[in-house]
Amino acid sequence: MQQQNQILETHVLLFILIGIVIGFISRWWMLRGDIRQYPTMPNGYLIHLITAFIAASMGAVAYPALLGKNYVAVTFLALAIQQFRDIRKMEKEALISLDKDSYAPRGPSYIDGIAKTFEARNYIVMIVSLITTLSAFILKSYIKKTIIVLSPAALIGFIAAYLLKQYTKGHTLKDIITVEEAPLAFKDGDNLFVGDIYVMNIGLSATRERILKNGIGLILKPANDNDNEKVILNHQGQRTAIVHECSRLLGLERYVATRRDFDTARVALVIVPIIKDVQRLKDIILNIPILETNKKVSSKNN
Amino acid sequence: MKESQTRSILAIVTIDEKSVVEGGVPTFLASDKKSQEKIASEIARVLGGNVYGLANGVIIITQE
Repeated sequence: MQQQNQILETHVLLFILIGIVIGFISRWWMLRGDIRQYPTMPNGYLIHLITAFIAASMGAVAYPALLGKNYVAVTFLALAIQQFRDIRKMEKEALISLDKDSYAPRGPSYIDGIAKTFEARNYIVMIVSLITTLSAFILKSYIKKTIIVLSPAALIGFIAAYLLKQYTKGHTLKDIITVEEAPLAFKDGDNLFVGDIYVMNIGLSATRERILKNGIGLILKPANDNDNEKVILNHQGQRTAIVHECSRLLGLERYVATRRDFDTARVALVIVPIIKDVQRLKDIILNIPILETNKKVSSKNN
Repeated sequence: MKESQTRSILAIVTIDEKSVVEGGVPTFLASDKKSQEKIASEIARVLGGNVYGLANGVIIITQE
């Protein structure tokens, strides 16, 4: 028994390796799924790939460790979870400290969502690796050839990764709102209106001209006119997130502001961006995630 | 939450003396609309405040 444990059998080693590789690749794939330029290149990527590698190793080793009657090894999983919670804390602190520097902050709700996602994705990697290795061992009892076992195990791993990603994938604003461009106009002297929604008061004529010349006005409307959508769109954190993404991706020449129309629950957005591209602005808004804290509110209402 | 915080008026710029009743805020009298905006913009720049125009033609400068 002791002798056997000393040297890993080839197929066990291969199964662990395939688990690690599949977990690692799935994390890489999930990192690329993000269009909002977070985490930052290249160091942010590296950090998350390395932690993913560690998560994958833990997931892959768990089952073989049990097989080898090494029950203590499983307690390392508890340690791992502690580590990944630290990742969440680290992301949170980093983002909050960055918030002070930006004109339009991300806001605590958005940050919380991002940090949670990072933690969750490490767990996904761990589960994917575990499933891959486990299915390889199960398949091994039916198929004798180790090489043949590897590819279906890898496939199962990828399917698990895909399903988990679908499960954790949040919805985006695309699902609940429509965005329309609306003309900017000053009424009653200094009051700026987007379409028919009052947004703000601008006292100086030079600024007024700048907004009329370079500004873009959009109206965000709940698509299906149900109350959940109104609740989500009304959330301050959600609006902060919208303002943040717009100003970060298009740059900010001067102003960005949102305002709610209380009667119809529409939200007006005015921005004077550096990159004046209305279509891109619409795409950005539609791709902003619905914050996780918000989703809980909406499911309660259902 | 910026919107819901109350802010105070830092200064008032007016062209019509009658539209402002003395209220403890520095009040500047401008000769015409153009100089009114110029003064307002200067004050706002120095104080880092926001400029708002009221319907009666008075310009106020508030905290950011």
